Amino acid sequence: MHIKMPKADHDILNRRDMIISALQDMLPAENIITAEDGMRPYETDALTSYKQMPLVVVLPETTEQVSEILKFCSEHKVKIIPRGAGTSLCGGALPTQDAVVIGLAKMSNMLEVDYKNRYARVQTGITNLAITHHIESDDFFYAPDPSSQLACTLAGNIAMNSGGAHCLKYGVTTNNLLGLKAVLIDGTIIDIGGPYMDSQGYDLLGLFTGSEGQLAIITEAIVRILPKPEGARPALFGFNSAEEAGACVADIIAHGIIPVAIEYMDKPAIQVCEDFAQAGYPMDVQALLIIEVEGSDFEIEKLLEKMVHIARKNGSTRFKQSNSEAESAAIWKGRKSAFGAMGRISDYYCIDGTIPTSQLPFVLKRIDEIVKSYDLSVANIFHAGDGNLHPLVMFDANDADSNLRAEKCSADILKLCVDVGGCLTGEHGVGIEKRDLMTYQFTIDDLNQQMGIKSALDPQWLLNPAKVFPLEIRPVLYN
Amino acid sequence: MIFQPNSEAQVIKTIQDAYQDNKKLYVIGHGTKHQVGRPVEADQSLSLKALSGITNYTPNEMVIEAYAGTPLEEIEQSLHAKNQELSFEPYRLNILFGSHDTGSIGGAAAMNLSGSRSLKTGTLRDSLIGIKGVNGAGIAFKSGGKVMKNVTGYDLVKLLSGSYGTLAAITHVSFKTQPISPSQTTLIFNIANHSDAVDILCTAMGEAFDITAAAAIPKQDGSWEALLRLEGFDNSLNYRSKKLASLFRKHSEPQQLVAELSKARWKDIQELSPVRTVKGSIWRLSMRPTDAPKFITRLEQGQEKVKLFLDWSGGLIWLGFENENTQNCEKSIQHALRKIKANITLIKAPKSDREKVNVFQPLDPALALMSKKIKASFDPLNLLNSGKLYQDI
Ligand SMILES: Cc1cc2nc3c(=O)[nH]c(=O)nc-3n(C[C@H](O)[C@H](O)[C@H](O)COP(=O)(O)OP(=O)(O)OC[C@H]3O[C@@H](n4cnc5c(N)ncnc54)[C@H](O)[C@@H]3O)c2cc1C
Repeated sequence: MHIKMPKADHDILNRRDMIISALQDMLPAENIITAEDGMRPYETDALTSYKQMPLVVVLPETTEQVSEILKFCSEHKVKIIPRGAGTSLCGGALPTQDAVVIGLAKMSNMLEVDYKNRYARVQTGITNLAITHHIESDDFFYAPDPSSQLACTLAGNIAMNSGGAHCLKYGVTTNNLLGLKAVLIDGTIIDIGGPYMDSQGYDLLGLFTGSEGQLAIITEAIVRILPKPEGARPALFGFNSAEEAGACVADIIAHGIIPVAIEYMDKPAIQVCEDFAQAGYPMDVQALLIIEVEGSDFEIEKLLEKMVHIARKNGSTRFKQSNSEAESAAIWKGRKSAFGAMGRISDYYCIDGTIPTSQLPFVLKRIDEIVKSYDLSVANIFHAGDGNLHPLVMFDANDADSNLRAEKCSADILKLCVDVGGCLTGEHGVGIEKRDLMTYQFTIDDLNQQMGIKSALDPQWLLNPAKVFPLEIRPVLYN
Repeated sequence: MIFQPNSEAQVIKTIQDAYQDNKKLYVIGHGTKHQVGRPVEADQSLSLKALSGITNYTPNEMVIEAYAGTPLEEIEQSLHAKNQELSFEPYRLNILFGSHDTGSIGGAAAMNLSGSRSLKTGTLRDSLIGIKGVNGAGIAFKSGGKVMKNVTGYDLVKLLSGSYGTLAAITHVSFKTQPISPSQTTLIFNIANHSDAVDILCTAMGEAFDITAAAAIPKQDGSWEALLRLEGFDNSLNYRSKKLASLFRKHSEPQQLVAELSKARWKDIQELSPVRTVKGSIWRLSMRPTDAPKFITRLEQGQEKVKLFLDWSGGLIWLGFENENTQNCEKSIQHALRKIKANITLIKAPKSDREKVNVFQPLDPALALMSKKIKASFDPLNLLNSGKLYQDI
């Protein structure tokens, strides 16, 4: 618990009643939560070791309401924490005491589906999986699939530029968006892009995606939807070492094959996930690759044949492919519930660095050493095709010392990712968790360029201000 | 005066000096496509041509990095030697301006130069994973890096791609690459009219064929060809082409171009053959694919003689006019569009005309204001390619 948050603005705390009554003029009573009990679910996100009650929580239902709220807040210099489902793993949705939480949960409608032009227009409070649920009976889907997809909102996905297991083939959130409707801090409503590729002017779609709720509140989006593949089949490849598994991934790619997903688990992770999902993972291996391929049965057979050949050459000792929908679902359930399954046996920090894939064996060895040096243990899960690591560092949340060691250990692992040419976060975002490490990856000039945009669009730094940029390097704000 | 620095330090120095003296700079790569955009007011030119060379290519990580002035061709050749490619298949716009030089990789990034396969893999910006640049105050910065998944900080990589050198001089870029498919096949359906052609493209894109390019091209006799490209392993191509052919059997039995013949056909499209010979202006429009037929019907009913073809399943329309009066061409496009929402870009026209018409789709006031603020945060004195995108931007 060593991440500092800025001091609350007492002036705002003192004006709480006035602020609430102004918000009451803008929203129906049931859309404003002021009581402590009611606000409890909003005091943290999935980085649960950090908690803070906000000033008040509002749940608008229209873009116009969001606009009114922001206009009011900017006029009165009230800070704002945009919130989707609160599944952020980096404290991105953590409130401050002097801030209004704006939750998008009530804006979850599907507004338009156009199969011919392959897009859907939605309100961003919709959950990731609900988009696919709306269109799957017509054999379409929305591709980015964070493991939290049942709960997390598209708003959060856009703010974090979330990825998922299948983004090796389909790309992450930013690659699957065509347009946005957003509200700027002064209440201005803007439309970016449209239901076609290529938007005019600067790529604001690209800029807003991954801006962690600091540039605007995004209320609607136009997303690319895709026809479902004829079929998909995951297969399991077991190895006696991380090196062999890593070499196999590189070799598959060298053969011109880009599977839909290549997921890696080490022995501790396999154990935990198997116990949870009974997925049929092999238990006598040190490293496991879950590789999914798509197409017709015939295409899948051919691709798997090729990959089995490549995997054997690289020392794979076990191979098992799914033989039914139920087996496929179990294989993915094991992987996608990895975080939850781990949570049943221990507290953990989920790390999210990315490394160049060739560094994999070295980095895994170093992670092991680092974790041991802090007297902790780790399970490794990651998106192997793109080098996005999720070491889960286990600790005891009831033990302050263990907690602190785990935070320091996580920081060392992230620095390692940067040292080998990678980055601090591949998909979970910076939030507060990696905020103070930003100067490790970036120079002050790099960060000034980013903060310049923040200051240009939100001069008073009211939108989710305590996140992303280290507190001590921010520009001094003048009134 | 043309500065041609060959190091990042010299780029910094050049821009710092310009900043000190409040001198406007015309930032170019190889200059092969510098005529795309609004005319720029500048005191000096800054060419990135001499800042050249591949700095890292790691095929098994699918990443290539290079200085901005590196010829696109050099990048593509290095990739091909390892059986890889840039997925977005950039159009050879240089040909429109009479150059055989395909231009620099930095210039491609600055224009978000993309082509047919972008329908499947996204445009250049979806493959660009890292960028280094020098802003209008002469300060160097970077964003992204050399790994594919990276959400650390704001995505300036995307913001800079397609910014036409108005935010920073790009000095170095990192791209993700992809393996070249073992084989490819193109099915060509002969179709009576453009609405059926677009319908075929959209229907095919809505099925699980994994189509990597979809274009429609008019023929001399007024009928159309709908082209669908499949890439992959031979056995899978056979399977998918059969299914595709049977889906559209009621229209026509497709002609099939295999391997090199297929490649040659798409190269032709990459070189904009259907429109490039016109005497007048050349435009591109993106819109919803299903809006394209209505637009084309109205355009063809109009006064102007126009050559055209469709890419991106009908969502990207290339137009070439015979009439050399660019303003009249703009009027006929507007007239044909009426209420159809589109993003219009004038790609080629004489300089004097580019001052009179909208080269890029006008922004609504809120977006224009925001764009100005962003521009100012990179280039406070408005020195870099001033006015190239919009007035003051
Ligand atoms: C078990 C588990 C598994 C996960 N797996 C993955 C995974 O596979 N891949 C992955 O990428 N992530 C994963 N995550 C992380 C998390 O789910 C994602 O970051 C997700 O996108 C957050 O969505 P949310 O709706 O919960 O957003 P929140 O947590 O509520 O907010 C996230 C950020 O978005 C901002 N925000 C919210 N709404 C808006 C808005 N309307 N406008 C602007 N900003 C807004 C918030 O301020 C905050 O900074 C996982 C999390 C958990 C708990």
